[in-house]
Amino acid sequence: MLPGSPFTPERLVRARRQYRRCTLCEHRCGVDRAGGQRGACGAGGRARVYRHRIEYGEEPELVPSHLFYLSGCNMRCAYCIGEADAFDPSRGRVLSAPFFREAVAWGQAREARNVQWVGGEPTIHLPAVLGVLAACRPPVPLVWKSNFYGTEESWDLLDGCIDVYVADFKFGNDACARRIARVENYLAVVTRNLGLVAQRARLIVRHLLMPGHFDCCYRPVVAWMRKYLPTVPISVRDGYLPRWKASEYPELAALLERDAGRRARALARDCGLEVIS
Amino acid sequence: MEPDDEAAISEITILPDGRVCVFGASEALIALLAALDPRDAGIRRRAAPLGRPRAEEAHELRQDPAALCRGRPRRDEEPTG
Repeated sequence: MLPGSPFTPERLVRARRQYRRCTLCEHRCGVDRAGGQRGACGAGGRARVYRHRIEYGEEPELVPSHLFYLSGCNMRCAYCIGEADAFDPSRGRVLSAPFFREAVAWGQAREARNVQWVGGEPTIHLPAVLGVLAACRPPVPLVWKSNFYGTEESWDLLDGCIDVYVADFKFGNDACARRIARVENYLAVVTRNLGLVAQRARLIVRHLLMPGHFDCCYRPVVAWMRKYLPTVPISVRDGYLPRWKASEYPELAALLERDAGRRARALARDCGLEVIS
Repeated sequence: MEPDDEAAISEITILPDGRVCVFGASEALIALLAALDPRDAGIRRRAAPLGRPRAEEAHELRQDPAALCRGRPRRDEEPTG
């Protein structure tokens, strides 16, 4: 371990303990994943990577970014573009130190600027990720893209290990979160975590515009950021596609209005936010 | 197809009104998009890391679209000298 490394044995032990009684996310299932029990996400004691590749569609300051897609998620967003890969934690190859070391070298040879953990949801695999990071210490900044439904314990475990957080702030109210993603107490959890992380590292808030959710979801997100995180940049994503089970929800089965992206960015700018995409 | 090649596939969806949605934009695709619509600020900023050689290559692609069908060498296959 390098001097000053955040990957202390104590931290790794504390993280591994989560696999015995999991409270990594706010479902707080408390199950023994290592012993074969399964909670809301269905994940066990191993993380799996179902894809890793270099992408240029991320926020401009991050590209080219080397993304590691971990299978399994604690939310059930009906429109998820990752579809089955995102929700089935048995997909992909086991995340191990030799695999990760080789993959990072592959990315470095192709000039990736960072390593980015995405999902599914990486938080549910936090102990495994910290384990490979401690073993391999990739020589690039680390990016953590999350739905921010983790517990305070999770953010504490990550503190000092991650350089940039990308938060998917998906819903502007609890009713939409419950109906579309099957999570409770969404707004309180996510806003608490955003406030927490904003003080610790670079934070980018991302919002995927959904058809029919401009007033109930996007406006409240912008209003909250204006009030509580006015200096945090926002990334407005307008590439919504009605994938996965979106057809089961009348408004989500539609395409995004043509000028939704322009309107959304204008609103954020009017509220004094920095719009980075 | 090798796994690495499969992972590098970009998904492009063209909506009925002509909008193009991309999931997992690769280097080759972002270079192409930059060539097709160089005024798009979002694409331009994402293409910036490609540097001059890629920008020139994109311009060449624009002049010779058939080159797309012929493919181009991967970066690690290109001569370094």
